[in-house]
Amino acid sequence: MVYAGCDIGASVVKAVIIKDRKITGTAKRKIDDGLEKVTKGVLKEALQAGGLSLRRASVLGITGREARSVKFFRPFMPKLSFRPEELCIAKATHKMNLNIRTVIDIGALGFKIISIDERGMPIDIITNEKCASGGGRFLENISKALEVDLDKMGEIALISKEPCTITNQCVVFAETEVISLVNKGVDKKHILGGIVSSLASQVASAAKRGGLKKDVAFIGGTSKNQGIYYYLEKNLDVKLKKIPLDPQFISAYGAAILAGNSG
Amino acid sequence: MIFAGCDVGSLTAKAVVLETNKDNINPGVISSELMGVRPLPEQSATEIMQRALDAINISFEDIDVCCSTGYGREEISFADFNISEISCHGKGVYFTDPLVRAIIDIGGQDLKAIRIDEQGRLVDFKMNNRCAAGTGRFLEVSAQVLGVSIEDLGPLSIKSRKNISVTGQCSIFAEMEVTRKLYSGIKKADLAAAINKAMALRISALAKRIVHGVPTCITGGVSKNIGVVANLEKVLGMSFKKISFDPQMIGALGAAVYAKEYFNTRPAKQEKGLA
Repeated sequence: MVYAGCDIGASVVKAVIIKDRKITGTAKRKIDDGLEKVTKGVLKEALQAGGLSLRRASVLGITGREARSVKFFRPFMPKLSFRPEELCIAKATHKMNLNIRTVIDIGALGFKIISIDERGMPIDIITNEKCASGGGRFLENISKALEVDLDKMGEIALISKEPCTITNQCVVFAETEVISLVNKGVDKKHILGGIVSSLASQVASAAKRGGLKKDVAFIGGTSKNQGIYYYLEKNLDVKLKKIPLDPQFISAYGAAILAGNSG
Repeated sequence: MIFAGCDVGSLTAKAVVLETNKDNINPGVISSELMGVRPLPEQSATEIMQRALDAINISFEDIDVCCSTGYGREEISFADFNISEISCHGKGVYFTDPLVRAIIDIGGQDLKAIRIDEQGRLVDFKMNNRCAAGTGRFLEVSAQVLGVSIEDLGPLSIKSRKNISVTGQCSIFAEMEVTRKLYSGIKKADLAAAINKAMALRISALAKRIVHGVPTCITGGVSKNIGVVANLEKVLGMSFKKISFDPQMIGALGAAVYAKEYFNTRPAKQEKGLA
């Protein structure tokens, strides 16, 4: 049986296909067109990566912030299963590492800190609700403002021995603050150091509020940033566990596993 | 006597020059200028003040007292002193229309509701400067997504025929919401109207208590967006008093008025000036 999982996030749609309990293909695309079109394209690509056609998936698991915004599936998919994101994340991390008790997920628009029990069920969740501070979008905007490649940001940030203090939490205002630091002639590496440590400390203080249980995994697009990784470990005083799957695909993978359970 | 006010905000710099007669009464505005900011506040201040002075063919030496205000007010070396933009808005509005008792000022990076008494003194205020929601930056970010200039948001919203909502309060959430809705085929005019409505709701939540039941005017760059203003009047259930001076220049005007008052309270300098 072929199961598809699709994570429709705020800025990127991700898909994972599993066949006989193994991942056969993944795909992702930035939302740069109608949501239906993007989602269909991503699913097709992920299926094709494993040599499968759109009709082969028997159940499609859907999750993510915009899961309910897509309405087109009927003619292609026999069965849909909508699952909350924290459940998908908990299932997927539990499958890959049985010792994980806390998952820190930093996506584009914010963070999620999910506590999971020994059976892989989510028992508590802390998120930001009304404001994008603490999300990866912050890094995206700053990378544009400073003309530094998003993938290189973390690396450059870590060179700085004396990172700046960024006073604004609001993503929009922090960007203005960064521009004024540039105008004052502050070195980019110190600014990036400040940005990265500011984001990490916002997430870390939220994580500590919930009483952090080990082991801790760090996932989501932002976990690819080494700077955030370093400062998060430093602020939390724990070693973060790596998950053997591209951290952006965890939710979609969980949705595919859950689709398999329901079909 | 010549008095100058200089307001360096987050997005624009403004300068106003006031002239009084020999006895330092009957002040009148003789020059006012506005421009987008330069990288440093000092640069913006010097350039805008130079423009205002050039327009009336006088130089920096002719200014008797200069007061600075706004976001960059502490970094302007040619100003004799500085006053917060909250007080300056109160002063400026009182100078143009002494009957107004409350001001909603929406700048590039902050949102303020100010209450003044019958002598133009500040009695209460509420301010948001930690979050971009409800400020000019929210409109700027949204206009960028729509691919229109910030000036066009108001006129564009009037063409709206469909009632759409943007629910995200955070500018970044709204930006993504607008992007998605745009891709799904919703018209720009309807989205522009939704953005203006979201702004008005946010502003009213902050300003409601301060402006309740008193003659109120609206100042700052966003007051030029007719869509936001019309929505705000509707939500607050009041109509704003029109003021007889450019609402974006009120802070600089207030600073110039402060400069004049500062002169009055310094007898030593006054004697010198009158000699």
